[in-house]
Amino acid sequence: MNGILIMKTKVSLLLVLSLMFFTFLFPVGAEEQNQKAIIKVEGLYCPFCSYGLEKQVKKIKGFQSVQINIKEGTAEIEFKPGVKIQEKAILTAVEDAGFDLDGVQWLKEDREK
Amino acid sequence: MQMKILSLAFIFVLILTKITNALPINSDLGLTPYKGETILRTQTRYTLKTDDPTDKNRESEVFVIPFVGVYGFTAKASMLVKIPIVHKELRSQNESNRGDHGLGDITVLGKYRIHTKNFKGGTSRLSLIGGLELPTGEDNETDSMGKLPPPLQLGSGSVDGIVGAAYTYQTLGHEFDSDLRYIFNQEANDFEFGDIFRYNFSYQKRILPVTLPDKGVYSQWNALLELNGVYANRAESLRSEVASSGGHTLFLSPGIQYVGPRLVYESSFQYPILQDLNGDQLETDFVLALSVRYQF
Repeated sequence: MNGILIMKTKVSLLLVLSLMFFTFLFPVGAEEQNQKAIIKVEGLYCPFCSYGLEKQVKKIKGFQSVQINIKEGTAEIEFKPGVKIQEKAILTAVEDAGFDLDGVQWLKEDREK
Repeated sequence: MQMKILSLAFIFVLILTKITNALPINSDLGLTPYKGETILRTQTRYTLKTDDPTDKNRESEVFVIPFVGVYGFTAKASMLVKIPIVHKELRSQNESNRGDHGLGDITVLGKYRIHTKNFKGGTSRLSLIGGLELPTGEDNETDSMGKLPPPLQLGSGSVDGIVGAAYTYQTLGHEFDSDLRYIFNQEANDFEFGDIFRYNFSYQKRILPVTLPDKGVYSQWNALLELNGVYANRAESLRSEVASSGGHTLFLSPGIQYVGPRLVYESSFQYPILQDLNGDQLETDFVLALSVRYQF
């Protein structure tokens, strides 16, 4: 009887420890963060032309939002979580808008490669 | 009088350079639309000519509303279609008014960008232009006095070739555009308008906002100053030169422009500073242009 009780306690303890271990490895309820990139664009010169960049960037798979900064010649693009973003797609978007891509800086490290 | 106008123009340029971007109004530009972009532009152009070297006291009014559509097939190649609605009227002291109104000659142009140098906050681009002016306007219109003379017809009746080039240098603070265009006019109805050479130079400065916001997309106001030149060869009728045709006109054209992310409103006043016309042609008083551009 006493042995059964000890066995039940051990199994319960093992279950609790397993649950804690897996919870640590795979946190339940934690949301994946969006992926953000700042791109440097050469040739951006006026409000009318910036609309072209906005339209082309919107075509990238996983696009969520964009903020273009004409003065700095940059665009901050936010992508949906869990979508693999190809830098080639960003390059194509910038070139189809008539500009040159001067660099991409990713702001989140959990971006899927 | 011309010196006074030139002085005012010089002061205007000085003011522009003291202020700190943009699109030309009467000139073409080296920029091309982005891939898949559609730009619609409608313009109203009013031309008044009253200075008659003869004693007939003739006056001419031309009112044109061109509807222009531009589409970018790629970031470098685009096509333009211009559909003009035209009203022409000639008044003189002892004769009844003559003229016509309706659809003019439709222009179809292709543009290809051959040079691009992009840098931070600016660009330098050169494009080649080629196309046709199609005989869609009425060219055999008559009134109570008979057939209207060719300059009063809405169309030339011929398919005319167009070639040219356009260059743009643009930064956040200013823009310079220049374009050259040659129109090969052909014969129709035993009449051939002389070939036309157009040359345009346009300088633009952003006047508002004075200081650019650190972040985001803004709207801006630009001041413009253009030089628009037209040189036309003499026309030929039944293979003989028409004495009162052809010549050289140069306009000085100040303008103002509002540029938003999708819309452009603009206005330009063209004043002739040089008119060297052959024969007894009416001289131009001014041309007034108002236009709106919208991109999709």
